[in-house]
Amino acid sequence: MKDEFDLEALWNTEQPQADAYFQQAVSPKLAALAQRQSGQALAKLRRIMIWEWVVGILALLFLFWVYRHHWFVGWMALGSGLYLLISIPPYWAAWRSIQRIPTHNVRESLTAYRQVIQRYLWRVRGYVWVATLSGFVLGAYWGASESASGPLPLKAWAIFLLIGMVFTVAMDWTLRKGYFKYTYYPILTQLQELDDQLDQQ
Amino acid sequence: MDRRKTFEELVAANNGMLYKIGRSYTNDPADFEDLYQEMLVQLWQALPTFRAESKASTWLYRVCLNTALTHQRQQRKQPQYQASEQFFAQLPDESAADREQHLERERQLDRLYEAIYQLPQIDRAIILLHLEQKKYADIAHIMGLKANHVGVKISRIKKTLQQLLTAQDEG
Repeated sequence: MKDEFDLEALWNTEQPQADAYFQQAVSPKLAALAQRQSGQALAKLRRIMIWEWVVGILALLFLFWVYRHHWFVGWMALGSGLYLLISIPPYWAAWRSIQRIPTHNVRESLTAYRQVIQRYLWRVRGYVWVATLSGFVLGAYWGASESASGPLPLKAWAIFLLIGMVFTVAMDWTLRKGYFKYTYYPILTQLQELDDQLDQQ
Repeated sequence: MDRRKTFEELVAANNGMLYKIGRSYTNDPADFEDLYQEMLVQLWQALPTFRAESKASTWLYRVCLNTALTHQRQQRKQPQYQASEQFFAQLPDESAADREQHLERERQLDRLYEAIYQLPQIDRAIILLHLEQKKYADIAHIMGLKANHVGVKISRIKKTLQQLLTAQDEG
C-alpha cells in the first residue's frame, strides 16, 4: 500500500508523459481540434436554439407569403414575426449564458446545466401543445369556412376540441416516455446524482 | 494578444492538467482522446470569458472538470479499466533502462488511475485537485463547496483510495 507522499510523488511523474502526448498528438493540430463541433449535450442545445429561431422565422415568412391575402392569418404571421424579432435579445442572452456554464464552479454549473435542459424540455412540450391544439382549431375553422354548411355549431367545436386535447396529451406522453426518456432524462438524473455527491460528507 | 495565441499558451502551459483529468475520467484510449479534444473545444469557446487578471489554473480546472463530468454523462457504459501501456504516447528516445523504469512507473500510475476511476465522479475531481496540491480554499472555489467541508471530504476520499489500492495489492 502506498502512503500519501508516494501517491503525490507518483502523480507528479506524469508530466513528461503529458508533455509527450501533447507534442505528438495535440500540438500539431491544436487549432483544428479546438474548433471542432462539440458533441456535448449543452452544445447541441445551443445549436438547437439557433435552428429553432431560424426555422421559426422561415416558417412565419412562409405563412405570411402563402396567406398574405387573408386578413386573419396574415396579421397573425406578422404579429408572430414581430414577436420573434423581439425575441432576439433573450435568445442571444440564453445562448451566451449556456456558453458560460462550464466556466462556473462545479456546483453552479450542475445547477445551470439542469435548468437549461429543464427549460428546453418545457419549451418543446409547450410547442407540442400550442402547435397541435392550434392545428386542430385552425383546421376546423378552415374546414367549416370552406364547406357550404357554414360555421360549426358549438357542440361540434366541443367534440373537436376534446379530440384535439386527447391527441395532444398522447403526443406529450409519447414525447416524455419516448424521446425525452432516452435522451435528456438520463442526463438530468446523472446531474442530480452529481449534485447529491457534492453534498455527501 | 490574440485569442489563438492566448489559447495555445494556456493549453501548452497546462497540458499536464488536461492529460490527468482525461485519464482520471476515461477508461479507454478512444474515450480519452474524445474527452481531451472536448476539453480543448470547451476551453476555446469559453476563452472570451477568461480574464487575464483572474487565476488561470482555477478557470482552466473549472472548464475542464465541468467538461469531464458532462462527458462522463454521455458515456453511460462503463467497461473495464484498460491499462495505458499499449495506448498512450511513449516518451521519445528512451534507453532500455529508461524504458524499463518508465514502464514500471506507468504500471504504478495505471493502478492509481484505476483506483481513482472507481471513485464517484465528484470525489475523483476532489482527489485530483488534492494530488495537484491545490489549497482547500482553491478546491472549494473550483467545486463550489465550503472550505471546511473540503478537508472532511478529502480525508474520506483518501481512506477509500487507500482501501482500493490495498485491494489491488492483495488481488
